[in-house]
Amino acid sequence: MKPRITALLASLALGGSMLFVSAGFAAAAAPATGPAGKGVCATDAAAVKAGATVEKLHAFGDCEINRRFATLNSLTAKITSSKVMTSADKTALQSEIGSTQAGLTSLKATIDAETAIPALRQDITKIATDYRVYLLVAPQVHLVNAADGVLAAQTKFAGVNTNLAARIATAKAAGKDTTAAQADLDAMNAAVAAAANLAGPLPAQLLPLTPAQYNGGTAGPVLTGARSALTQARNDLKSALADAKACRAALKALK
Amino acid sequence: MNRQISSLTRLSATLLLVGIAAVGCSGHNGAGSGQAAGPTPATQSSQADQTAPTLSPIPTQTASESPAPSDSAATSQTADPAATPDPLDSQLSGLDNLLNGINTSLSGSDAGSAGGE
Repeated sequence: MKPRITALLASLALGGSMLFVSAGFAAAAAPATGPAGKGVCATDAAAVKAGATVEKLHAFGDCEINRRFATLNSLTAKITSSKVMTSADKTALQSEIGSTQAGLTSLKATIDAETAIPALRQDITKIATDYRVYLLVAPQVHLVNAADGVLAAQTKFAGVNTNLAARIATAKAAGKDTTAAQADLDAMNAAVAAAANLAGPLPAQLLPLTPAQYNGGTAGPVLTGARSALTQARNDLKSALADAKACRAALKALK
Repeated sequence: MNRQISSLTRLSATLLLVGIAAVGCSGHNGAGSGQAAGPTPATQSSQADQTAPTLSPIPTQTASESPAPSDSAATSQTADPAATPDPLDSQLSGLDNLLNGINTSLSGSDAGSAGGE
């Protein structure tokens, strides 16, 4: 009987360990989640509004810092998983996020140790003004990613250009009239160049922005300008894609 | 003694079953012979030139693990233009996806989606 039990236990142990290994992979692949939304601290904010106490202010401050940690974690995940962001831009943004997390960690310790209500109010205000997670850091990550996306698209369009130009050359050699197809391809290339010109300088303008510059009113216009330029670049790329499809259709019509 | 041999046999059988299950799972990684018959979009995307369909779309590792396709099968694959996807399709589709990503980033950068500061 004993050997049977031993064999059974060995089987269970082996099967169980395999299950744990599989579960480990699944857990590692799961995305990090956390409270990041605007309304997360509404209850704590209402409690402070109803009558501020040290405890309520501690709870509100901690909540506001924790939701910024959640946001910063999600931004880090976005940077890490981005297939278009350059490694230099990734490094710069990850460094900024790291220093923001360190600063907020330090501020949290200060808030938790503070016992005077006026000082607590001042410290809690710094959560927003000293770090600008939502008004500066998050837009920086998204806009740099979009700018690098436009530049990545430029590389992909170069491949499309090579492909379509070869087809046009083949059709031309066969005596076909490729005027329309060539015009579409030229329009595509012009639109891609325009988009790349708009997006190219943006990472260098966006990455050095600081919360102090945001508070001083100089960073906001840079963000707005970048958003506007990228919207135009996105439209240019849409137009370029339509031109590429039109070029292909024109070539198909020649057959 | 017989009991010990019997339990050893059971243990061996269990290990064999676990091994078969592990091999079965690894077959889903694309190395199975079921995926060797046709070209996949992934293999086509990097093959921008027109000669791509005549090349084997099967990765070397897979080819060594599955029976080699006969010459006639390879010929019938390249001879049917309807079965050969246009590499331009995957290039344009990739650009569509890239544009969607840019749109998502632009939406995320909108001050309206800020967490309130």
